[in-house]
Amino acid sequence: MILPRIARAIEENPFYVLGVRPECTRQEFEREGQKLLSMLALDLAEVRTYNTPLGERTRTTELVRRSMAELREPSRRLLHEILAALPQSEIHTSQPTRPELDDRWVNAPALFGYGRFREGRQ
Amino acid sequence: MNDRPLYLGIDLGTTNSAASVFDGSLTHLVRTSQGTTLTPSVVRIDARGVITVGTKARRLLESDSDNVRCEFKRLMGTSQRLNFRASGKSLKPEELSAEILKSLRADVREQFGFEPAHAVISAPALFELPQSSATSEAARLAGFDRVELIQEPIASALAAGWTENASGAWMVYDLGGGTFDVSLLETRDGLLRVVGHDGDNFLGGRDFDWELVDLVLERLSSGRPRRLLRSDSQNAVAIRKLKLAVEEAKIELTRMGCTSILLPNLQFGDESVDVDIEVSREDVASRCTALVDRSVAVCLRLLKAQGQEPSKVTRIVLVGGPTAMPVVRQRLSETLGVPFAEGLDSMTLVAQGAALYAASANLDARPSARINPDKGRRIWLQYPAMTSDLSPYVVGRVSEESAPGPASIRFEREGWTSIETPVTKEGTFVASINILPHRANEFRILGTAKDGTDFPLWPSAITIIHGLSLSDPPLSRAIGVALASDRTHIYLERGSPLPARRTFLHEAVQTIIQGNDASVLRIPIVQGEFHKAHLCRLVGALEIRGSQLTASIPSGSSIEVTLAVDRGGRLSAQALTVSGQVFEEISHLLVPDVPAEVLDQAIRDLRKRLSLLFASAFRNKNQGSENTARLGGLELRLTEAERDAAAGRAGDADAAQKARRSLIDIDAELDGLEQEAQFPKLESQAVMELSMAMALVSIHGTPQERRLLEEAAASLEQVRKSRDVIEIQARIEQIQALCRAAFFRDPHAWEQIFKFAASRINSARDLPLARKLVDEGRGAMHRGDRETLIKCTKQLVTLIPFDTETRHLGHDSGLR
Amino acid sequence: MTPLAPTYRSLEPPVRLVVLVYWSALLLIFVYNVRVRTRLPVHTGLKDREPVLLMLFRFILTATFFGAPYLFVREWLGLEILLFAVCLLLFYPWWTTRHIAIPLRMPRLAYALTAFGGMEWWFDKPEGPVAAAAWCLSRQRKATKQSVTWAEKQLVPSRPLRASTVAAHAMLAAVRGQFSEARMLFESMLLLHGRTAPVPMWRLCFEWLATDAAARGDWTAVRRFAAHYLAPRVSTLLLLADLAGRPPGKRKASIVEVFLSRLPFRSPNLKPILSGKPTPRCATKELHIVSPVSLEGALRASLDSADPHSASLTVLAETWDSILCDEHLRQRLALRSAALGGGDVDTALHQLRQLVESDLTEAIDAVLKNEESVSGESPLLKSALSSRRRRLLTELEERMARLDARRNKDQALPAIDEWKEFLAFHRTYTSIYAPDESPDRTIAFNMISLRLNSFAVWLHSQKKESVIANAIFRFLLPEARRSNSPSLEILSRNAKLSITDFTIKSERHPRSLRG
Repeated sequence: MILPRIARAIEENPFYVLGVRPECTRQEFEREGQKLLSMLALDLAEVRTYNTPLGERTRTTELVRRSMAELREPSRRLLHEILAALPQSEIHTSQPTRPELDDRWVNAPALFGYGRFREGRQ
Repeated sequence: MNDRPLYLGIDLGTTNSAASVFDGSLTHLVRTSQGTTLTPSVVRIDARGVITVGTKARRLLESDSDNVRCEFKRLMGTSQRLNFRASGKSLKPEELSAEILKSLRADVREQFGFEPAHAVISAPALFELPQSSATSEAARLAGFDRVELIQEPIASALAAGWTENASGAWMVYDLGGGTFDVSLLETRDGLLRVVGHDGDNFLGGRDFDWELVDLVLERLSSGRPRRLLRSDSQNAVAIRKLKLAVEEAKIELTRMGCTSILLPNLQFGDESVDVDIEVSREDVASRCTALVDRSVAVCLRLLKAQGQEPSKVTRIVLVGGPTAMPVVRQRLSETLGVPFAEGLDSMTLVAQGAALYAASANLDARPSARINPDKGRRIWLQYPAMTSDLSPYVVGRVSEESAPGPASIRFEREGWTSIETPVTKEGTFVASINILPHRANEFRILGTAKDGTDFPLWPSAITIIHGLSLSDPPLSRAIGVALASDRTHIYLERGSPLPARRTFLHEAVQTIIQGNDASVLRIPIVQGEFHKAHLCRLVGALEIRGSQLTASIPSGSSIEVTLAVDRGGRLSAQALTVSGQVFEEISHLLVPDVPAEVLDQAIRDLRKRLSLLFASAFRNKNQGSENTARLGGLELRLTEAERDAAAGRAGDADAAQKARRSLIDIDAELDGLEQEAQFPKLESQAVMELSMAMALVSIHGTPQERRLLEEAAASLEQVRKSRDVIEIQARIEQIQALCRAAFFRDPHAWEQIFKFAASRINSARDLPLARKLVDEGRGAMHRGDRETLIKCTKQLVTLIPFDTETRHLGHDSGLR
Repeated sequence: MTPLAPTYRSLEPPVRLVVLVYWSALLLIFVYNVRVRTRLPVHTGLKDREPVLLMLFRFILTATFFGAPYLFVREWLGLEILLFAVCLLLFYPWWTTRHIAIPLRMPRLAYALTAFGGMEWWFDKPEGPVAAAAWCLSRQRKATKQSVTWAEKQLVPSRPLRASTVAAHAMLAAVRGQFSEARMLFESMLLLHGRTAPVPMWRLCFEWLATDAAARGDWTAVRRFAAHYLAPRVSTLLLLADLAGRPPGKRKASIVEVFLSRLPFRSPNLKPILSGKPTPRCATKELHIVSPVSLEGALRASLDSADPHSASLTVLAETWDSILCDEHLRQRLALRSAALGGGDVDTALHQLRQLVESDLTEAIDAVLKNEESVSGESPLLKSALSSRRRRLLTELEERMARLDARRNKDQALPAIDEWKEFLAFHRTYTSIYAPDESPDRTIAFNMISLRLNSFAVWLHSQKKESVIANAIFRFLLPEARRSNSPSLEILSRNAKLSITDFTIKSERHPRSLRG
């Protein structure tokens, strides 16, 4: 089962956000972070997303700043190094497959006179 | 000055203000028309409404006190207005600060030839949000287009560390006229990082002055029938003159061991007093050591919070005029044992650091240059204006026009040229450039067209300064939202790097009816680390009014709240309702005023609580001495708060605010001590309940109940170690519930309760009825008539007043 | 030859066809209403005692149906149609609303017809009419704000709550697009006494819930709603229950089946509901962790998309237990800490533990919702269970304290908000215990029973909210039985007294309740 906080911590792992190795030096991630901030400020397409084991995610200025701040704190960096154990290229489906979604009778409300079923009705 | 960018930093101090301009290599202090680098934070308005600022105004502080105002920094963010009698004007503190800033702007124009539009202004690290907001407002009123705020310790650290290559942990001790800030910093690999900070918004040189004023008054009062008091409004003029004299004496005592305070014919009410008092360094030490110790306690608190020892700190940077006092330096050496950083001007360090920060934020003070299309194709650039990295990146985007743009771009400086960086189809490029250390590096930007010819660009030059890189400034105090249960939900932890933003979902506890203006949901925003919301400072509130709603919000609906703080410490908040409406206006962003009666009542309540705690501490042999020492400290602070409240009653708004804040802190500490004091009693209750429960549950309990009781017993051991009052109360309730459940399975339970109640018959409220019930109950017991027995027992129990302990035995709550 | 035959034969063929259709329609309507009316919920104890007047009206209508041909023969066709329409409106207004106004999506007409509804809706005005209007609005492609506001304004907040009130609010929530709220409110009607709304309202509630559950694929819920003791045994619900009993992938009915189910001729097939067999569920994916367990394996397991259930939760918790105690990991982190020039390994591991524990607590909620139990020797799991229990008990205490405070200050909320407060309380209470027997339930019950009883007495006696009070007593009663509580007698008495004959005597409170 998906553990949401762990999944989120992996999705927003600073190493994935900044695109650096867990063993990188401070100078490396500072430089990379600075570059990303500059590129995001000018809306360069190549840095709008980043890869995680849970698929592609949107990179924002706030996320980059937060990632840099997290890696500057040694205790926080240790935690993120633990959570960056999976390679970025390894993809897991983040949405749990829900077999009951295939077994739905979406037209039921309309057929029985209760209006059209709308997605987001969950 | 050439065409390089210039960065302006301003230290808006309680007593003195200063400004500094950084040109990329050196910081230049801005001089006033009198040639000094400091502008006293004093404003005078005469009868014609003419405003005078600085040294000239300060000279008239004594003779024209009704029209001169000073030390209004600590009133920033309050609704307090300051009156000027001659002109009849009444100005807010931020309006007065704006006058100081206008004066500094004029000085910059005079010295550097331009009127600055942007600047960085320093603020104490523990400034509350309303105070930061007021500072920004002052800058706007002064005519600045854009300002950023920087915390004073960061500014000092930047200025102090700018020229140093050393790395390690160090401390900035900033004791100003009105506030004290201490920060722990770390420099590593060219990165300056603020590890943590702390401070006291109501400790400064001003307090040292008042201590000396009290000393003089005590000496003057000896042998007199009537004591000369600071709080006596009749003495206000004399006190003011005395304070000025004391300030001068304090400054003299930094150079000599002894000095005299001479003020002939000082009028105290009807009495004329000749003041001729000798004050020595020892006198200052005896009166002011406690104040210095307060600051040292804050330093130690900060170190402890960061898990550091004083021995790990490599040096202390002293900032602020009062740090020149020998008592301060001596006491710091004795208590902390950390060497001082030398060769720094403690009065202007903050301004210099602010200017350096402006450079790192690329906040050029000059008004924005006009675009000249003749100069070349516009490019938008992003690069660090100041960095410790010797190979930073420059990222750019060429503006879109019908004609094709450059094919590649290169950067040139003296002695170096970069490789040609190709420009992508989208018109963007990322170039890595080399900079020389410890200086401003100017680069020309050169474009090359497809055919190899030059392609003019604008801007055609940039400057990158090699220096310290600065980590994001940390949030000084946690910010969160107060919940209906008086708990604080923290959004942004203390120390969070700024800018920061968090969103949480909450539930509305009441219905807000659409169209009904009286139906309001308040979302109070508080600042502080306490779990109880009423102990935190209320800095603002988002209000969702029924009259603004498009649909009613039922109780239990989700409301999404977002709090954000920018780099300058400005707060913004947003509430999103289920129907998609957004509310963003924060009301009441002011430090609350407190009437004198409220302060007095609070002091009385706190005294009462303190005396109860003292009594309890004396009874408790084990921890008595430790607690009495802490309570003693609190008592001293309460006495001080009483003095400030008295001064507030006499018209000193600043003292009233100080009293308010002190009382909140004392309240929180007493809360903690009261909880601790409860613990031993709760502990013995828990042990008693557990033994009773074990006996009952082993006989009448189900296997699951036995298991749960074992778990409860195990977790009780842990809770006893942690001394957590709330946890132990939860355990007691859990054990009691298990006990009750098992007890009522006992077939003789009711008989036991009946017997217990019957034994207490003499304390029954209605004795005849109680006797009748006892007789009836006994009869029922002999007959085996359970129904009647239960009925009699229930009625009997209502007649007998049980105390808390025996109520439990009687399981009263299950019957009423 | 009968008196009718020559009269019928004398008519022109097209007219004969009209007459035939007319008679058939009348007959169908009559039979339909008789069948639905008599098809009462099983084991409800609901007695649909028709008042005398209503019986008289029906008799007149029946006479009219069979007198029609005679009138028709005398060629009073227009009068007959008029009489028919008037009778329909007078005696079967809900039928008219349901089959004419609602399909035509005319909310004001639906409101007016239901309000006109005579005895049936006597105690449920304006809630019933508002529910009907909201039903129309929910069928519109996009309801206008004015019509929604108009419907909301018809409700009277000061009226004591009835089940119809909840239904009206639920339909309005559905119109506003707040479907989870609508679902919550409709489900909450199941806690109320059956006599606090007329049968059409219950049918609306159960059909909405069942079709919504079918649309979401939650066939267990479909079966549960169709089998509920308050659910009318109508063909639609029976069809849905039947579909729930079929294997996964075969749970769609054709339009013809749906149409036939709405006719009154189909016999109720109670077997799927009463058989007690569990609803077939879709196959679930098992969590698979490669051994020996590694950090990467634990992380992969935490991102696995297997369904949450008890076994996988236990496996996951045990995996993380071993990771957090792993000496190799600790040594690796210590080396990294030295390389970084700082960083507390214990702090980092503690933060990781907190993350995992918080997630396990939420996973426990999901597993318990699926009616499974959670147990195990894993320290993380025990810790998560313990902190979850503490959190819920604290929340329960806080909610109870808020109710106590309002009672002490004599501050009641509008009826629907009072109900929602109780629902939030109920949700917290039911979250505390696992499906199997657990002392947590006893603890929670002992904590709140008498205070909640006092609150309910206050609602009944001071605020005239008898329906809510009764729901509270009926909620506490089985809990008291289970805990063998001494307050069982009081609660039982209060439950009986707080609700009397709601068709006639709902405003009377003849006897006081015991606090």
